Amino acid sequence: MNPSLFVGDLKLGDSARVRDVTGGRGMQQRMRMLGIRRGTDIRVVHGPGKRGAVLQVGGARLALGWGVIQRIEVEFCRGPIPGI
Amino acid sequence: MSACHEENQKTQATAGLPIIALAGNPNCGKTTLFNLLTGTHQQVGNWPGVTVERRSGSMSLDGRKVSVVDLPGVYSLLGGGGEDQAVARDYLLDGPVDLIVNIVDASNLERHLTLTAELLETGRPMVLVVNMVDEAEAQGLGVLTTELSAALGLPVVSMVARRGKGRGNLLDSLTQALRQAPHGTPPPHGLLIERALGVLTALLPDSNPVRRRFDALRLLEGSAEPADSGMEHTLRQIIAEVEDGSAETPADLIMDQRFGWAQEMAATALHRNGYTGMRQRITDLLDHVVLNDWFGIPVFLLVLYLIFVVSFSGGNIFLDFFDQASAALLIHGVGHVLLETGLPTWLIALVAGGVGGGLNLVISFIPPVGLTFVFLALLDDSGYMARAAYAMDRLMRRLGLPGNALVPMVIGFGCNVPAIMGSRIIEDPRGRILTVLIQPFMSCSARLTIYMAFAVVFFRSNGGQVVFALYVLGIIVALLTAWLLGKTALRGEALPFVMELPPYRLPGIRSVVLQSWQRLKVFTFRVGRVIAVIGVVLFILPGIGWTDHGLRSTDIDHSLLAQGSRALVPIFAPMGIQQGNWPAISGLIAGAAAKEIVIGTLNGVYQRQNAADLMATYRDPDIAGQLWGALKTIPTNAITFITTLDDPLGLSAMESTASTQQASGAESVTLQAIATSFTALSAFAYLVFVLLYVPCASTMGALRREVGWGWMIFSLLYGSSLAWGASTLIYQTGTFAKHPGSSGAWIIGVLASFALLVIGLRLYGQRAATLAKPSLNQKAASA
Repeated sequence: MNPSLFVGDLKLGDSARVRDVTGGRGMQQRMRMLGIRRGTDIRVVHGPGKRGAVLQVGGARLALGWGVIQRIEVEFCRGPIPGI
Repeated sequence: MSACHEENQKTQATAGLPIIALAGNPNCGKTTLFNLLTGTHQQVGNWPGVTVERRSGSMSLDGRKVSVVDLPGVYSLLGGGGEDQAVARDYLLDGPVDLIVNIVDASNLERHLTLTAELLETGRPMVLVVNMVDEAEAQGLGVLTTELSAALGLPVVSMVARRGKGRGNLLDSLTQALRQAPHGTPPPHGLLIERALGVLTALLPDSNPVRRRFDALRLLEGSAEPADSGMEHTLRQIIAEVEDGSAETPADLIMDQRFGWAQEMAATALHRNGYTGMRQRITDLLDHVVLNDWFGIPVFLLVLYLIFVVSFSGGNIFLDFFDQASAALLIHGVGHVLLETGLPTWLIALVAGGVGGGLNLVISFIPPVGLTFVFLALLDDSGYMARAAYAMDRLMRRLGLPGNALVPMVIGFGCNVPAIMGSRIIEDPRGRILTVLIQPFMSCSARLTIYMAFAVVFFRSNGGQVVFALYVLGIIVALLTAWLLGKTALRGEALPFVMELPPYRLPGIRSVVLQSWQRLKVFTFRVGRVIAVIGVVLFILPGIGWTDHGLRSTDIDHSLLAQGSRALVPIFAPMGIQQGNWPAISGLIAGAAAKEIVIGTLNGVYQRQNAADLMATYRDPDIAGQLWGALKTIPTNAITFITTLDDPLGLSAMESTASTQQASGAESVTLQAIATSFTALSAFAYLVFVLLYVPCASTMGALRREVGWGWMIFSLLYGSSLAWGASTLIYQTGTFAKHPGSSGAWIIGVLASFALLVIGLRLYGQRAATLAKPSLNQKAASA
């Protein structure tokens, strides 16, 4: 299996699938209510940078701080995922 | 603003009626739909968290009155989010709701439907509104309402609430639903989970079965702690049983089921009939600029700058017209009519000079204040606010504030009260207290009237810049206050930034006009009412005074008001208030009640001091001529506005002498009196004092409600001492050359007191940290 990859390791325009959300219960709940959980497809539409990143998740754009994106473990997807 | 008071009355008036509650994720259009249904004009905006409290209104359905409740947006009934979401959650679980209208965003259907799954689980009757179908279409997605309705077992209405599209269908569905309650089919949990829920709900204490079921779900999902060790033991047993039976944790089972269901429903409801086109590319392009690491913050500052400078300069075009025309009608016209009827002079002076003069001053400032409201409404609608919050997040975080604290701060430019309420969108208690405490430093529209009056006299040609400087000073003081408190009394880290960025929208003319009109109406009525009363009071209070023979009627300079204010003048002397300028102090005292009346108070006193020659102007006023003159100022000022567009910083004006600035514009008695009582420097110091000292009574009330007595009193004391210190620093630095000895002493004194304050706050923080640790942890756990 590949070493852990986080949203902060992606590049602008990359698509990925969420493998896990680490961190405490509060963090997982915050992410879940915004639609980010295991299996969610995401695309980086701004950043990632020191501030964090803006992700396209379904029809929504979510701005997430650096402290958040480094807790979202992902699997890199080659090419665009249809629908996001 | 005043909306909250009206709401309470409405709630009482609608008791006993069937209740329809609007529920949905933040920024899905609940309030827009609420306004559409009830015909009210609650504030709407294009960012998550516009509504932070419950509001109710009424509508007529099928000849019967029905109560409609608008709730803050909520992502999940199972917890998470700030205080605003808790308000919605509690009402949906425990409130007396007869019908839920669940609003979902068609362009983000899957996520919005997870809330629908939870709402179905409450077992309450429900109608589903698929809103913003136009935005889904722009993404190339069509909505199949019939298919979705069949799959959910619920009536489904597709709408574009912003344009009123689909209203008729919704009304039909609501009428039908109140006659025969539609209960949809919630996603099934499976036998294992249902059995576990059965065991847990039997153990939970709450009397409401819906609440018990959700508490049990929270326990199984691991989003709540068991209340005691007995419960913990049982929970562990149940979880083990489920894991034995399915090889998965109950949390995974429940959530996979719910999210899978939402995905399936969304797939049923949507069909792709095109590809994302232009819109997505425009969003990408705009985001690239406004969120840029380097340009993000400058762009935000530029937007603010444009708002305030254009409001001021643009407002200036009509300011003279409003001023002169209202003076002609309300002061001279009314004075003339009263004089004709033969009323005594004192009464004429009271009505024409006091009430008329007070109103005249407020009316003058309607153009710039109204323009500020228009720009704030544009900002609200555009979708930029949440992005500005993200752009500022890193800077704010360094100062110990979460980035989304910026949103209430911008609202604060309109009025501090909704800004303090709006701080509820911040999740962690510490960040919320910080955000609430800095709101009073945001220059509200009421303070703008004071700036304007002084700017018209002293800084006529670069007034926009002076006013902007005051706004910026407010922001800087607010941020530094947050930083200071965050390093001393309220130590901790801000939660990492998480915010949904709404789609960009071209602001609708109707909504912008309606919204700014709504705010302006509240502003004018509030101001008009208060000033009219104060004008009268100030015409009586300055008429009596304490003499050797007791309380007697005296001239104004020996009145109670003068005696009281004069006694306070020495305190304000270091910031440049001269002994004779006691009316300035009266204004500050009145300003503690409402900032709108500071200028009204000054008006009352100055008018009274200069009342003698007014009767002559009432005798034979040339009202038509004055109105014509007023009208002619519009083109003249418009030309000035256009010719100074290339000099937005007003640099050329700084070279002109102060005397010409003073001469221009000072038409009314009050403004002339201001011109003689202040220098440009002491006027600026006075304005800084007005910006920072105690907030108005309504803001104090909001502070007490949101953070308690202790922090409210701290805010008052901190604000007043900071105001005094800052204006003293400004005045003494400006006049340093004249008297270096005393100025130096004042400056050192102010700085030393500030150092003492910092040390005090630090000590408090250390003590609070040792005392409050357990309770803070409890709060974090329950959140």
